[in-house]
Amino acid sequence: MKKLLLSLLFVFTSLHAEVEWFEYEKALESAKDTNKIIMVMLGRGSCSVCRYMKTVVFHDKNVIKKLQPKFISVYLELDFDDVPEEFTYVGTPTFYFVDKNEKILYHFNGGKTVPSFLQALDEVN
Amino acid sequence: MRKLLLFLFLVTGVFALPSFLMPEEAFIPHAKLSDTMQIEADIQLAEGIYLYADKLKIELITKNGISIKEIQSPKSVDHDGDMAYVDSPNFLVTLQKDSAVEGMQDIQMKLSYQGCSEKGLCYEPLWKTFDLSIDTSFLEIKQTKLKSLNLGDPTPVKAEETIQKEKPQISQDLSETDAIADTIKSGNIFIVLLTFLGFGLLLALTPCVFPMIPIISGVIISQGKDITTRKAFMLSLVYVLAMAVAYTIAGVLAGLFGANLQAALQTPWVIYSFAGVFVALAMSMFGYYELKLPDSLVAKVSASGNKGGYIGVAIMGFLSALIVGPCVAAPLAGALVYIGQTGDAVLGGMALFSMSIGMGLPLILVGVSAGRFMPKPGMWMTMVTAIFGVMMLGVAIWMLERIVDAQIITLLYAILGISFAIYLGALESGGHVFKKTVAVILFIYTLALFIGVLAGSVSLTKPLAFLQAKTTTVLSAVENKHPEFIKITSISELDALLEKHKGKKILLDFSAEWCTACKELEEVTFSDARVKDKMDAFVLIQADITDNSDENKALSKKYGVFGPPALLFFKESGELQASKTIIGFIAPDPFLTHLNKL
Repeated sequence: MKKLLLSLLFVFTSLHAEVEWFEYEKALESAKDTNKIIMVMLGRGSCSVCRYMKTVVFHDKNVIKKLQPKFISVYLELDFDDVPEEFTYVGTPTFYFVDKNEKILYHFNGGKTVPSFLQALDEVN
Repeated sequence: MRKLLLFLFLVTGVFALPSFLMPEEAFIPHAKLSDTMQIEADIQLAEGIYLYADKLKIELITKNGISIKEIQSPKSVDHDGDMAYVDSPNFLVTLQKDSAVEGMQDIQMKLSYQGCSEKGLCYEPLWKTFDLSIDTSFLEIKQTKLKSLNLGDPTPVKAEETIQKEKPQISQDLSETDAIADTIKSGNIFIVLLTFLGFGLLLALTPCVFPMIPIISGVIISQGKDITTRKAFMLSLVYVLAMAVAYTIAGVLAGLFGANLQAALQTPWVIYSFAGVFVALAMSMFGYYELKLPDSLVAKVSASGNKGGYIGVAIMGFLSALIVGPCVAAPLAGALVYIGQTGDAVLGGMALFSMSIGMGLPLILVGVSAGRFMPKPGMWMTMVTAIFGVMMLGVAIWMLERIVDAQIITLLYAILGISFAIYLGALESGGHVFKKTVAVILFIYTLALFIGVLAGSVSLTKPLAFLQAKTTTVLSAVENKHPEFIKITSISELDALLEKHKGKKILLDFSAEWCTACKELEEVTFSDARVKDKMDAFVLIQADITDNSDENKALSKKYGVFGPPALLFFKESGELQASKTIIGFIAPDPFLTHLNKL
């Protein structure tokens, strides 16, 4: 029974799959072990483009597939999360890619559609 | 929504090198003082930049006894689920002062805003302050009522809130109905009567009166060959007078007691019997029998040469007003409001009577000409009476529309048309070419109607629409996205919806199946593409008062609606905007103007 429920849960969550989001501190810790790149998205509740990224792009199968093995995703909400000083921004969403030592590898402003977001991830790699 | 955003991204085509404008390039705010010490503020938006309407805020940080009285903002549009300004918005801020304030005073105004680029970046909340020197001699003194509101509330007043606080002033513009009610109150009696006569003449051009045209001409024609112009005039006059009396009585009752006599008569058995009267009239026109039964109402209608004829016509006119054309238009409602408010049934009743006479004048013309151009006995005469017989049957079917299934109605129309076409000789050889052509066209059309019904179509204009290939294109998907009316029949249902949709603008449409003007409103105005787009901004609720049940009545009474159609508008706060109420039919263009004002 438990197995059945778990597998049902699994099916359910995979249908509604979204990129898994971590807290920034946790992400840094885990990057130390895994050597993954940390992707930080800065967003705001009121921002329609952020809404698009979260509801469309980060629900996309290909995006999830590409992020999962090499990236740890972090979402920082400017309205209430503390944002490290080096992450400057003129607007939201803004993306930063950092390594385990918080060194900025790559950064871009604004949202992207699925294909161009995938392309951007390739460039980071 | 996703498609839209995707589309926007694609159109702007900027994935490769997303270069965004800096905030100070994207938004350029200005503010200056007008000669009358109003602040003219605007935010110039660069290409592809939009502002969130609800994030826009105008407030005074340094006040020196000056406060914001009113802010006029442009209309925002729906942008992907948010209300936004896509064109550079202008704001006009009207100031007011506390009573002790004099001379020049410095104020600091803060303009806060937030927006995004269509290219996919939302800017941070921004604000700019403006130092302004105000010559307070131009300003109005703040009313104490508003003062207490503002003093207890040191936080900045949001733009929309300020506007709402100004409601007392706005609500002074009256709805059309109230304006008409006021005309009666203020005007001298002759002007009132003349005005209402004019309203009546205008109403004669609405569908409420159309069904009476075949009735009155049919009644005249059925008088037979020996009708004189004088007799035709007298009969039409009696018909119209009776109609006017009926309207007046119904109106006065409605005004005094809020009871809707017309709606009360929209019960199946009344409709069936009245439709029956028309069928009987039609049969007599076809010459199946002479309507000479002394006791029946029908007999009186057609009895010629004696007083009975007039009484019959009078009854016909009386019932026609109550049953055939139950329409509420702004002037009618205006008179009812006047009666309701003042209890003065005499003047209100006279106004109603005058209006009904106005409505009837064209009918008298129709009646007289029907008598005047009455053909000589013979083939032609038989034809004319037959045509009126068919029209009577048409009226009977049209009345049944209110209580019978649409498919059966269309079927009845089709059968009527086919029989008439055959009567005209559609299937015979020979005959006059003109008559034959009419007959054949009618035959083909009604046959199409008949086939249409069998295929499940009830449209009188496009009976064969089912033959069109059904193609689901993106375009049709977009067209279909307009929301439909949510139907309700009672106060509790409405209250639940009002609560649920708090924060949205609401349009409440009072409608009933027996209401001709409501149908016209739906088919002409609500189906207009531009109107549909505008109506998207509203939650659409339809109060269906077809049954005239106690719940229906309570609902109408609560909102002061005498009868359908009536369109009521609610603000985001759930408050009724009484001055914006529309009574009666309204054409697409004025309706658009009305919606734009909201």
